[in-house]
Amino acid sequence: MPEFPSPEWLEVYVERINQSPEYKEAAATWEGDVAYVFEAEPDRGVPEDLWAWLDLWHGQCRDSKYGLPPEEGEKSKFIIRAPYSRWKEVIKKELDPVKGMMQGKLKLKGDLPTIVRYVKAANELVNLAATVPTEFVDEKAG
Amino acid sequence: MTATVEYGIEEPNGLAMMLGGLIQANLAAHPERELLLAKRATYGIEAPDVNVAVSIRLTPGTVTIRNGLVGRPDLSIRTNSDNLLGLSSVPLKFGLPDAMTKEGREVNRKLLKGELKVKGLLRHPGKLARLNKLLTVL
Repeated sequence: MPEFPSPEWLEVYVERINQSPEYKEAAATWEGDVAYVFEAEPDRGVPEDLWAWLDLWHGQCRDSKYGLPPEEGEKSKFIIRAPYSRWKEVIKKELDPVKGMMQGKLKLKGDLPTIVRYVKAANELVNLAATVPTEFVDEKAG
Repeated sequence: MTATVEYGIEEPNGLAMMLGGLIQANLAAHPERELLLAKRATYGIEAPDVNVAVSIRLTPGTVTIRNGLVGRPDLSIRTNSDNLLGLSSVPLKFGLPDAMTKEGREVNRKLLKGELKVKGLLRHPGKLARLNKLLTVL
């Protein structure tokens, strides 16, 4: 089972995105890369901020990178950042990402109108994250 | 764009950032909408399901957004976070939800069922229309 966060987890997540007819339909006209920032929580096994990058284009993920440098990640059209434990809540579907953004639990950088127009696609991305069998780094056995 | 969006506090809450971002992008894409700020208006917006509220004040050239409900706004909008976000995607006619569209009729249904409460709607329809035009993403 892939550990979150890790390159293996991102790889499976990308596969899920590219296999999803629901995402393909919801994001059919989406153009733009998205960076997720898993902010450091050293006491939970995330000693430093980790950047993951997805090149999302017309309902597909064309490319992805894990652990890219912040200066590269900062160039993304959209950046969503939150502490590791918030992402864990999102992946476990305990926190709705849009509600989380309204509460300031997740911070979004990028063109807001585009996100609002594609809120269904954004929700689908979260649904897909929840389908990845995940072992969370702070729950790792041993 | 010469109009500015200001936050009346050092740490705006998430809803303030979202609404501010929508208005800022809207004014940048449609500079003519700065005319919507010509007359003063105040709004209170509350999403009780996420326990977040903001106040918006329009003055010539400036939109000021604060955390929480401040004073007695001209219009108060209270609905859940999903409905609130959805309002930005409703087709408008003269600034109000277009009842000829499915989305516009859905807004009216929510108003009638009390799922969306707009206090001051009958007294200030023009002010509501101005806010809608500033927040629309269509």
